[in-house]
This record gives sequence, structure tokens and C-alpha cells, in this order.
Amino acid sequence: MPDQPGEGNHGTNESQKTILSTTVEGRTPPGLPVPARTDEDDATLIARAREGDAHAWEIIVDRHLPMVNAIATSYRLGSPDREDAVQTVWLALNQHLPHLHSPHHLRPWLRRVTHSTCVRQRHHGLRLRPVDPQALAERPPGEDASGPEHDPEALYLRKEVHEALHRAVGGLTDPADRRAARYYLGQAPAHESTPVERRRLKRRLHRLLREHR
Amino acid sequence: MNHRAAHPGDLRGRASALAAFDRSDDRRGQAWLTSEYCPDPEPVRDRGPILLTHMRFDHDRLGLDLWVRDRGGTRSLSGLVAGDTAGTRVQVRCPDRAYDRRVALDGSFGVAELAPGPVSLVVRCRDDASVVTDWFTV
Repeated sequence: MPDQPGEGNHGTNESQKTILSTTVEGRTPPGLPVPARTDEDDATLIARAREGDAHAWEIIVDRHLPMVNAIATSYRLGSPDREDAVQTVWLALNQHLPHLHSPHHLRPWLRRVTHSTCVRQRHHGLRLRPVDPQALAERPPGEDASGPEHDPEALYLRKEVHEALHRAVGGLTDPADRRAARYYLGQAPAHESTPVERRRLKRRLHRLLREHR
Repeated sequence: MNHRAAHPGDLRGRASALAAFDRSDDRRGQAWLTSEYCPDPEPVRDRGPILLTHMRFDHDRLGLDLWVRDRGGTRSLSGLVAGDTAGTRVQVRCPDRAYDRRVALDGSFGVAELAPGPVSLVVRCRDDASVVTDWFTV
């Protein structure tokens, strides 16, 4: 949902023990949302919001939205992704409001949820790379954007070879032979990468190759 | 001391944050996310949808598997409800709209061409009991 600056200036009045925040000069710039201000702690506000007090929710939002936005901005997400992440955080808070065990720890809770939401959003963004439609149109048929090595056919063949090799290695009865084969494939565990172990594996590998020639 | 004076900081998203306030889910059961799997991209021979994530939500005896796919910038959800699915309906909720789907006899349902953004599901069983999932982004 796109943000709508200038909206959301709900229900702040003097009789509700809240005062409008002001700028240094004592005025609020026109067109900007006016954060509500109160001395009530988060636990009290959450208790009120649980009972359906929208004004308490507004104060919670105004108190913590800058922090949520700061965290989301730090992930350098695109504008739509950042907005989605921030909105998801508030939807999640609304949903979890009745289940919060430690309402006085709202700020750390929000921080944690914002981080996890942004990480998830970034992960999705990394998987979906935008491609210029013009570049796609100019590409010769059959050529993948990332080059021939990323051609689906080549990737499938590479995967099948990899699986076949691992099946063959798994079929070796002697554990030493399996270690030597894994070394040959460049998949030797870290503890087997000492010079002495490498020499031993090479000798084993040469012997294996001689036997199967 | 966890109260602090509000300050006119970065209030982008204030309108949507305020709009998130809704107490209608409070009486519903909560299906928690119990597993999530984001597969590595696999080469595909056709230009079909890309599987972004597989999620599993559980609540009592109700289990909900959900697959999120991308196709040309829009998302599709396909799901499988485990348990007694006769008469069960699923509502896929976005902040600005909702899609109602009847669950098939095998427990499957699906929604296509969803705009990317936050999504939550409401599973309504035949006995009027309803369960909501966490909000997540697709």
C-alpha cells in the first residue's frame, strides 16, 4: 500500500492527555504527519491497543516508526520492497499484539521482526533479478543472459555428472578410497587438507588409477 | 524505562502502519510458521514460474503448506491444507484486498497474479472455526 503523506493525522487532541509534537520553532510543517506524543510506556499503550484503542496504536506507531524505517533503510532495499517490509512489520505487530509476552520489550521485538522481515525481503530480491526487456529482445535465440555456461541444458548435464560421480564415490567400499576420490573432486574435508594428508591421498589416488587402468 | 518522546523522525509508511490496526483476528487461532524453505534457483527448461519459497504453518491438527512462485513479476500461491478439508475455505488477504477460495477435496487451493507485498491467510473450517497465518511478504 503506498504511503500517503499528509494522511494519518488522526485523533490527537488536548483532552486525551496527548500533545502534538512541534518543530524547534514550535510549528509543524504543513503537509507532514504530526506524531502523537505521550509519557505512557509501551506496556500501557499495548494494553490499551489490545482493547481496541486506535489512538494508543497511533502513539505506538509514531514512537517506533522512525526506528523501523531506519532499520529498513539500512538494508538498501528498493522503495517498494522497503515499504512492503515496513508494512509487514506493523501488520505482524497488530496480529501478535494479544500474544506479546513482554509488552515493555516492544522496541527490541520490533527491531528483531524488522531485521528478519528485511532479510527475507532482500533474499527474495536477490533471487529475482530485473532484466531490461530491450536486452532480452536483442539477445540471439537460445542464448541465456548469463552466457552458455548457464544454459539450462549445460546446467542439467553438469548436475547429472555431479550426481553420477557422487554415486560412484559412494559405491567405493574402502573409506580411504572414498576420501581419495573426494580429494580428486576437490571436495575433501578441511581436516584432510594438511600437506601430509594431501600427499597420502595423492599416492592413494595414483594407486587407484593404476588398478583401474 | 521504555517510554520516550516521539520525535518528528522518518515517518514514511505512517498511513499504512496506522491502517494495519485491526482487532478482528484476536479471536482466531494463530497458525505459526513452523518451517520455511527457499530453494536455490534451479535451471528450468521452460519459462515457468520460479519457486520462491515453501512455508509450513501449523495450528493444532491443521497443517498448511504453501508454495510461493513468481511469474513475470506477479506471485502465485498454491497451498495444501492437511486435515479435514471438507467445506473449508481459504481467504488470501493482502492489505487492500482479499481472495476467497474453496479448498478442493484433496486439500489444494491456489491464487494467481498476486501483487508483491504482505499476505496473510485465513483458513475457515466448516465448523466456523478460523485460523490465521502470520503476515509474510511475497
